[in-house]
Amino acid sequence: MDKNTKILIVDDFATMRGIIKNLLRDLGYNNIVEADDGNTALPVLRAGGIQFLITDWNMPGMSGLELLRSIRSDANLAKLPVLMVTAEAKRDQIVEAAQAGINGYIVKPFTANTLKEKIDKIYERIAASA
Amino acid sequence: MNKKLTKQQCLDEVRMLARRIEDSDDDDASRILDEFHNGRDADLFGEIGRLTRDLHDTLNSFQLDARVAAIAEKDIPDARDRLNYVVSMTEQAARRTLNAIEETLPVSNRLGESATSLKEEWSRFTRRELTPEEFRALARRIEEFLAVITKDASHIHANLMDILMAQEYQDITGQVIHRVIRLVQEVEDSLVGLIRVSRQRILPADPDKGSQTTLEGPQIRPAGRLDVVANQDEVDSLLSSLGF
Repeated sequence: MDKNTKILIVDDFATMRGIIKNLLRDLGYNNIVEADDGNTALPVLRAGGIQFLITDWNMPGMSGLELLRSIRSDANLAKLPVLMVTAEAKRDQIVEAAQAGINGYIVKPFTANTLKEKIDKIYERIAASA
Repeated sequence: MNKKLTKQQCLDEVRMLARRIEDSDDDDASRILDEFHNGRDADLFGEIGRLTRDLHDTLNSFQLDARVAAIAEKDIPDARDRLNYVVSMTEQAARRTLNAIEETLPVSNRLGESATSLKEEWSRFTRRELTPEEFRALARRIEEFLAVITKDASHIHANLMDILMAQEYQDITGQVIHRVIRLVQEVEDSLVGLIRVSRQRILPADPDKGSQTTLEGPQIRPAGRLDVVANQDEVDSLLSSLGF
């Protein structure tokens, strides 16, 4: 993935946004913006320019799954790669997220390596289907 | 007719009834009989009404008792497990952070000491105080130091990343604690309900209480559950079974 890719991190916990942001910086991605739930993320996404989304699921206001559904039903955003990083570990929920059109799913607690792997895999798949 | 008759009134009514029958006054006789009958019915219906109200109140309080029992048997032990999980998560995070710091401090001290000593030697060199032999030794030390810096910098970096990842506990324990706070709120509501029942035998039925939201948050004991993944590998194999 291009190191200038603009990435939006959505999580209601500032600590988790800080962790993901620093992990991304360590991987060489410095073009990062943040939002604390789906309601604040959507206007940022609709304003354009975001090329990759990393979102939590369980957030007050609009959840990550609702955000994902809004993205997939928006013609301008439908193809945005979305990686979910969440503590939700029920099989039914992972299946639900998959059906809603998630590109990757990471369950917390996670490692720096898992984040790198999943981002790389998403881009490999996008490159393969292009 | 909904009144209790005294013994005397009853006797009077019965005598009146007997007289009406003797007089063949059928209409009046049947009116008096109806009045007796109605009085009985009203008492009966009143009694049934009271029993029904009692039953309703008892069932309602039973519902509340059941919720309180469920809280005591299931939710409180669950909350205890969750809080224990928070304790162990925070302890792990603190230990992981301290370990990384303890490992990093001597590395940064060593780098500082080496740099200070090299700086002194370098000052002597710029003042032309070094013999050619001493200068060769300094050049060797500088070369070694550069190699050490490269190695130590990556060591420090790795430890800093470890400290970063250890902060993940705040998100996970925060979610768990929020759930326990919600339970405490529910216990409080139920206790208020119980006090109201025991004082007035009246309570609002709330059938929705106890039904949980679908999101469960961090799994504190995923091992015993089939409907929950225990780690990232299980997420990956589930997703790959779905064609991911």
